[in-house]
Amino acid sequence: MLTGDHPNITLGERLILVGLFAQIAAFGIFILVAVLFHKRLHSHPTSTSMTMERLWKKHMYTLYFVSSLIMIRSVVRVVEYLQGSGGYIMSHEEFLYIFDATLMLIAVVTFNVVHPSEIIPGKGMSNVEMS
Amino acid sequence: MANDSASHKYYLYDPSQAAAAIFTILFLLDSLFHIFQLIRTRTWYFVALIIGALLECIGYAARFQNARQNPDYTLGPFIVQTILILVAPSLIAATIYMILGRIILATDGERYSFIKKKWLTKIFVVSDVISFLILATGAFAHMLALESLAERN
Repeated sequence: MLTGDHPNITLGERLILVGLFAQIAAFGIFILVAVLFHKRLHSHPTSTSMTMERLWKKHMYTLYFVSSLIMIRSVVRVVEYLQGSGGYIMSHEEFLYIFDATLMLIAVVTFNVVHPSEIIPGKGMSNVEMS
Repeated sequence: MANDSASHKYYLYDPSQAAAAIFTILFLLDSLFHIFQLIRTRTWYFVALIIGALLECIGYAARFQNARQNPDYTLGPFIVQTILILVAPSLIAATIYMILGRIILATDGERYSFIKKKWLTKIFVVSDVISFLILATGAFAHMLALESLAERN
């Protein structure tokens, strides 16, 4: 059922798969960099990070959360294009609205709620929360 | 009818008008709210995410147009909705990469990041742009293939 000699997968769809895999790989590395940074800063806080521990962690968790949403979305898209035209995902509209529209909406709305304007390089983080 | 077989290649179901309309409006409202927050807080790196949200909005608007045309879909909105909804998350991702860079600087924790902040943002944003371009090219090529397939039938 995968690519192979599937006649329904066009060159364009193969390119889309390459693009999605590239995105997933970059995201994987990004999350790794973020988690390592998080762990190291947690065990050896800097004088700056100590003054705003709750804040920087809040923004890191927000990053993990939104990254996971994009990751889930991209994985579902990969499966969709692997199945090709006429596949289960492509022939069911609800997948688009659950795994793409809704997840991406939650992603952008999350940043309305937890807005990174609190993070000000050079000045630490402001304690003023977005209302 | 040639047109019939063409339109059946686009959607394998009857696309929902209501769902497309709802997400068009929600992404529009969210973009406007983000623009308001950007101006208020001068967080310019949110431009990428806002463009992403606007692409989602335009994508679902195009999908709504297609849904209204059911079953005589036109190609234009179909291409727009396919490509924009596919590539928009890359722009949201670009802003996420920039946020990590700013957290690293703000906590004075650059020595704990195994990629220097200067490179971190560049590497991820560049890889993001590359995957964005591959996705857009692929989606466009796929549309052309669908169209020629539809014409042959």
